[in-house]
Amino acid sequence: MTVVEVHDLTVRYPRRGTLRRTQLTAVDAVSFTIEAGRTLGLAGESGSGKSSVARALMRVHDPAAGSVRVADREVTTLRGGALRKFRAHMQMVFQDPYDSLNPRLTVGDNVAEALTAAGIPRPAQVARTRELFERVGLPAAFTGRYPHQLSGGQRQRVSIARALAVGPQVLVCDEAVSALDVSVRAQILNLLKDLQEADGLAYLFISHDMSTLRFIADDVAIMYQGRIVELGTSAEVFANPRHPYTRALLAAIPQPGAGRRHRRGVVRGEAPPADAELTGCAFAPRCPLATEICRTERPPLEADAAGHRAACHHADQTEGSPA
Amino acid sequence: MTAPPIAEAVPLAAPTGLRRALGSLRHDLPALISILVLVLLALAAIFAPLLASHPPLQTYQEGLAANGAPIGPGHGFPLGTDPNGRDVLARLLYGARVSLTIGILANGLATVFGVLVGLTAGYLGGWVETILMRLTDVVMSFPILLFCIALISVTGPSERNVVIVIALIYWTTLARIIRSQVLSLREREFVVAARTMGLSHWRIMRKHLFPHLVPTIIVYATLGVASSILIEASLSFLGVGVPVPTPSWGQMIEQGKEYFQIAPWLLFAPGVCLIVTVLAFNLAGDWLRDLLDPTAPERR
Amino acid sequence: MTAILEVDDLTVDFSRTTAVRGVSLRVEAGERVGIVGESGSGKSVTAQAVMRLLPPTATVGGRIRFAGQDVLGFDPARLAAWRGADIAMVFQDPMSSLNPLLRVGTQLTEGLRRHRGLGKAAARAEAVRLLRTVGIDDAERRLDDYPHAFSGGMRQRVCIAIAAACTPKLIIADEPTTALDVTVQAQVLDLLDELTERHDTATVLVSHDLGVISSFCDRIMVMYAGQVVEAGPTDDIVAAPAHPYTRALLDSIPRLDGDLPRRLPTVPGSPPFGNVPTGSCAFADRCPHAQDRCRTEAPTMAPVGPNTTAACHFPLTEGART
Repeated sequence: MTVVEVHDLTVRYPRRGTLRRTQLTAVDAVSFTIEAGRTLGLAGESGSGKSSVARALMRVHDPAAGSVRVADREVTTLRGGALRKFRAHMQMVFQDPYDSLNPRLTVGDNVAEALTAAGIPRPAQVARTRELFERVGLPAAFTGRYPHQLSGGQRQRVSIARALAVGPQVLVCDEAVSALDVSVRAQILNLLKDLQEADGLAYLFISHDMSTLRFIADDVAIMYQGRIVELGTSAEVFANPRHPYTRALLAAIPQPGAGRRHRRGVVRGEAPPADAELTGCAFAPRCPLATEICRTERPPLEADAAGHRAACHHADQTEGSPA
Repeated sequence: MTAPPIAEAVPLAAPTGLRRALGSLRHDLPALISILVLVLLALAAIFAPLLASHPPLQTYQEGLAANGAPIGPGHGFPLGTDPNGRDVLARLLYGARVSLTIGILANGLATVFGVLVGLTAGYLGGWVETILMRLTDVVMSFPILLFCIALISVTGPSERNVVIVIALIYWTTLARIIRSQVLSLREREFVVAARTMGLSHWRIMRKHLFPHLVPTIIVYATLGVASSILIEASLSFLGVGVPVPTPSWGQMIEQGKEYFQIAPWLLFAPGVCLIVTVLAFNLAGDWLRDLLDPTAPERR
Repeated sequence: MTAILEVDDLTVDFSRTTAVRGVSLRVEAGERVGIVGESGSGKSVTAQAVMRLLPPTATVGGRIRFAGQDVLGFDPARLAAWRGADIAMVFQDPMSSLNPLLRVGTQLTEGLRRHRGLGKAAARAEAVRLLRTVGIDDAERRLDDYPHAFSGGMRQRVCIAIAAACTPKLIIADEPTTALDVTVQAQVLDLLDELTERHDTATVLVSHDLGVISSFCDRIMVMYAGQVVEAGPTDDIVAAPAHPYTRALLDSIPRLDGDLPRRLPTVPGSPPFGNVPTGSCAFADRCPHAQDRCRTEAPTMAPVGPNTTAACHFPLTEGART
């Protein structure tokens, strides 16, 4: 069952110039779907627009164009009370465990706030909060503590409990494990997997870390400069990356035991600033395969026989073969 | 992932607010004296009827010299008498009631208004923010004293009008400070989280924004009392403040100025009280600011 | 080979906590040593102690010798001459280690003129050469730019150029790529590789990322709660870690190839903060193999293989390692 359907989502931010007001396109016509019980991993480097996708989905920042349907309801047009009510369907886990909990409330009250939003009466909240704490692997006695008395991993568990409090169908995790120590990160990833299996939650899991995505995601979308450049099942994307950017990304990741002193940097340079005028393929300036067409014509996101999509004029052509 | 700062330790048992406050007072003599002064002042104002040996409005035949001049300290009047033969100490004590009440009330009103405006503007943004902040700018560009005088000469001097006029002027600074704090607070993840949970705007402002503004509010409210007392004194001095015969410090200074050469105590007594009170509020405000600001360097 | 850096039994105390307890480290000329650990492991504090960059509130104990000289005994003048000329540091955040109000060229030539005694023109020519070496195009013109005009990766290249300017004998790089995107990280690591190889510069690389460390270093030191728990050649440790903590670190990173487990192997709890009780193994609470002895007696570093040492009472044997 498809729970999330995003079509041509576009996000712009106003930029205050001295005289004229311009806009910065952070997300450019992005489309994807997420099924119940599955995880879509959204990968990309800084400035790729992956967090803007999350903020637009959550209606923290209103999208400029496109449609977002969650559980068969159009989200982008919801206003006021209807929007507040809808939020029970989709919740978010944030990146920074040191900032995502209100430091003036106990962690129990932090979770209880979500219950208040869902209209659960105060007396029932205490028991429900304790239940939620146990679900995310925290002792119920922790409810009376303040955020600064917990470790980063424990706080992230509280964040997850808070997100689960209203019984959502979709969980958006924006770099939810990036700030955690490696040994703690694995615990949280396991927890998220367990919760998904138990509740059939759909995850949009945003991360810059490809190895985390390989573990958690069923499908992977690679973003570059506000566009999805590759989209396919995790198995396909990691085993047979079709876009040169995906290949560069994977090659650049240092893996323990992969040997020393091999050349890691496959592509030169860095992503252009987000406000750069783009014609054609955004990756062309750095791409070893780029030809004339790449600089003039924007490649469409096209599927191969297996449904593995890539936006590249030279998809499947590898860097070794002649261009 | 960001590398941890050098001070990696998580504070396990932060000392409670009161204990920390008392601890820091021990090392801050000016603040300690200020607090004591303010406490004494409050007690004096509250127990004015018990402390004063005479009623403040009663004129005494024996309070004037043969030539009709006020008499100096002593002779049954600890701080002398005024040109009407009234006891200066009694008027000073009752004046403390008036000055403190007006200062605190006016500033309390200004604080409530400033916080409401700043919080609403910062949190809601958009056209609400534009209107509120332009209004603030306009009020800020008024020449304060002139504006007060003009307003009161229209409405007529009374204690209530003095309070209202001061409150109308003094909310702007706080509104601006609160707004800028809210602007950065609303981008914090826990506030965004509160929005994505579906909490109402009112609850987000009350539970997730307001508690973080309390330190700022307390500090500026304390400092503001000092300014309000000064404005009240200025208005009374100019004859548009607290109407006679009710004593207020500013008004006492105004009355005393003509007799400065023959009866300097008429100026000195309320003048010293005014200076000490304003100074005490300012020093206490500074101390509170340092105490409540977690980024301030810790004093040992 | 001669030792460039010898650290013996280094301890660092802050007013309430001990950040580093008894770390020893030896770096030979031209060698690359990695220090890996999680938050609170004391890896960054160790690096800062070697550079004498700790705040005055820190009490440093033990011995630090650089090319035979006692670093802890340096007076301020000697310290200033030593830093930049013989030893240089690259930090995590390139923006905070560059002065935002000075042109990049000024910051580059400063060290060249002071430590290498070059004249103004010669220093500028050398600065252009350095910027080219670190892969910055149009170096001549970019010397006159301010740091904010550079992207994150470019800034880190500038920092590396500054560090390499006087061909120091040792570069200490503290999380130099943590703030960078992975494709840029790869380029910066390649650059560090190239420069240190060309001048035979010894490097100490500090990182939380075992992948970064193992792709760069000859030897690694794994730190936990202020102590070294395992040290040895990179390949030996990555292939067959002897300390359960090293094993846990390696297991926590999902692989990019091969089969994936449904759940990642984990150790419970999180790294300790602040004071760890002495008289027991700091990892005992989280260790799946902990026994009574681990809670009553602190293990010391002892050989566990031909070239590796570990601080564990019950090091993982060949059979248990896989």
